Amino acid sequence: MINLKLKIKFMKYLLPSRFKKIGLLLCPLGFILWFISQMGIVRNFFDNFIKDENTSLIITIIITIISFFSFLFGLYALAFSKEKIEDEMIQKLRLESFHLAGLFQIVGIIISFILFAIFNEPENDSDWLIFFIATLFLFWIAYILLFNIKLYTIKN
Amino acid sequence: MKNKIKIHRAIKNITQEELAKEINVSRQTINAMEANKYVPSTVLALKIANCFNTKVEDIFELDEND
Repeated sequence: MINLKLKIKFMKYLLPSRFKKIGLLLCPLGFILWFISQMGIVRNFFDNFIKDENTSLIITIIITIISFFSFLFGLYALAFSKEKIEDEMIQKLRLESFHLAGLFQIVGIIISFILFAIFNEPENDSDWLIFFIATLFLFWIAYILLFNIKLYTIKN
Repeated sequence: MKNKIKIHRAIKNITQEELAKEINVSRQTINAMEANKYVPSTVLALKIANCFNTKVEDIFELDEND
């Protein structure tokens, strides 16, 4: 009975299975657009069409924000959308993937800190911020990859 | 843990899909159990036993690694 209640509580946090397709579309698209805008390509593109620099900058910022949140939502949808039949084996696979992803993250952090100690990097605060954001994403990307690899292995 | 799901399924003459529907799991879960890749919970083991009108220990048994 307790197990059933826990399962129902857990299921509330999962999105319907159709969100997986939305995630598959939004996650890479958002990341590519965000990466392009970070490289300055979007800004250059709008500078050619719009004469006013401020308008071009605002559009670039809006695109950057939208693309980053699309990437985040895509990641969320990929990690938290239900399978067509969400049974106990799927929940076990989720748990195992969470466990392994956590392990990857810890190992990644330890290796990074050792490398930082050897090469005396990163030197400024913004690099540290990027490092911590990358560490956060490492966990979720590892979780999504591991879960889908395990699912694929079992299905085949 | 070894199991005789495949044998009981053959006796009852039902497919993996039909068994999966009856106990509310995916066909992949039945396939994984039959291939000994997944050990079911007590609840699922009881559901399987109920489906085959037999005892859990008639279907599941410990092997030397357990």
